[in-house]
Amino acid sequence: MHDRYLRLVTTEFNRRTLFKGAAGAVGAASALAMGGNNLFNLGFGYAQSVLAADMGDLDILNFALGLEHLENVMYRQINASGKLTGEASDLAKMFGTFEQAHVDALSKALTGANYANIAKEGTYKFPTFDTQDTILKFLNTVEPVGVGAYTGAANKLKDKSLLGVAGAIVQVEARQLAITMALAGNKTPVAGALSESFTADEVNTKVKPLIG
Amino acid sequence: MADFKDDLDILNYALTLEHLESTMYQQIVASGKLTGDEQQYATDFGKHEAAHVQALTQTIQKLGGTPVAAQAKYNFPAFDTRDNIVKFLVTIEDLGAGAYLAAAGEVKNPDVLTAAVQIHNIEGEHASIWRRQAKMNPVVGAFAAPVVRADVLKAAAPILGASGGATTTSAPTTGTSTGTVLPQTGAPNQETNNGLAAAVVAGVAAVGIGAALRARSYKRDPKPVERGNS
Repeated sequence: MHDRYLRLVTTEFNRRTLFKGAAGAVGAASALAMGGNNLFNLGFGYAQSVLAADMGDLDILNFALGLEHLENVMYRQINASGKLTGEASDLAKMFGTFEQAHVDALSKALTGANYANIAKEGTYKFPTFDTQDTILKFLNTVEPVGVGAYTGAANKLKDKSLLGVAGAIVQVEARQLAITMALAGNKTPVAGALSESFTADEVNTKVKPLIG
Repeated sequence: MADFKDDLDILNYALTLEHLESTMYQQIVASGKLTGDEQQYATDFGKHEAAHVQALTQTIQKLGGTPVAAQAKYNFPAFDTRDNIVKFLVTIEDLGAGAYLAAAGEVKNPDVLTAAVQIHNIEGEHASIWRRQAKMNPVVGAFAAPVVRADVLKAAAPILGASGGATTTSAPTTGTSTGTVLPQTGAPNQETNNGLAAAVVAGVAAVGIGAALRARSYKRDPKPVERGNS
């Protein structure tokens, strides 16, 4: 399962790379650091049914970074399309700077932790950003995935201090979602009492069609 | 230093705020001062808060705790004009979102944590909608700001009144509505908090998280080695 979504979010996933990385990292003393059955212990031939619960904290951050790259490129292309006007245009520009900030923060954190195979910006298959309506509709399908991903990952983080950053990011994604829903003319821009929560598998399924 | 004793403490803290918000929306909707889309937002968001009250109450009971009751009275500012109402909603929803964000890190039960994050997200969404209505920046920065318990209670104290969120429903709060929104002093300035938080998080987190993770004895190569297999 790790294999599948890492391949989705990183265009240069290499299993041997990962295994070699594990050889160097396996000396890590702390179970907390390695996160139990995390990716680095598994090497080749691990079962495809590895659960999200087995992801180490860094894997989770890297997974989030993969999504942020997608959103960052999405906003970049949307803003370059010139098809948004007025308030929508102004806000999309601002949201784009936030996604870049999310990419930067997560990338720096993973670099600081010497994580191997940090997610890179990929190529994506977005719809044609030809009208404001199309763009907003698309944003309203993608933003919930980000919100759901962070929400589903929250209780998987072993280091609780990471909840501060994850929470700070997901609240922004949620705020952005409500706004794009309102801009699209939704009379109920906040869909319900609880935001959605997705597993990594569910996120993968939703995101897969967008990965080029 | 933990802000909370345990999950029940966090849940009742959240429930105190949700009671406040639920009652607030009931009174706002009943005031008739909002119209059109805004009345629809208030009606819907009020239902969300009521659902939060119910969910938190049931969770507390399931965990063997005693859920705090709604107060008989809250010292809301006068819901006399649309502008005053919207301004107040921004303040309260921002406060709620910040409160959940600060508390999340101390939640022990994983299911409670998921629910707390789900509610937290919705409060942020509420806040952004009312900020847009108030012609304010709906998303103040790339990283939302936590509001710690002491600051939340300081901001909420004038509304909660003398009973300060006590569980009794029989004792009404003393004093009458001041007719003003939350006092400027003591109420955390969300704009400032967000700016500061953004700088802190962006600047420090990158180094801090990395350093913290390194400090927890990851035995990795001292520098990232490109292990790309040729």
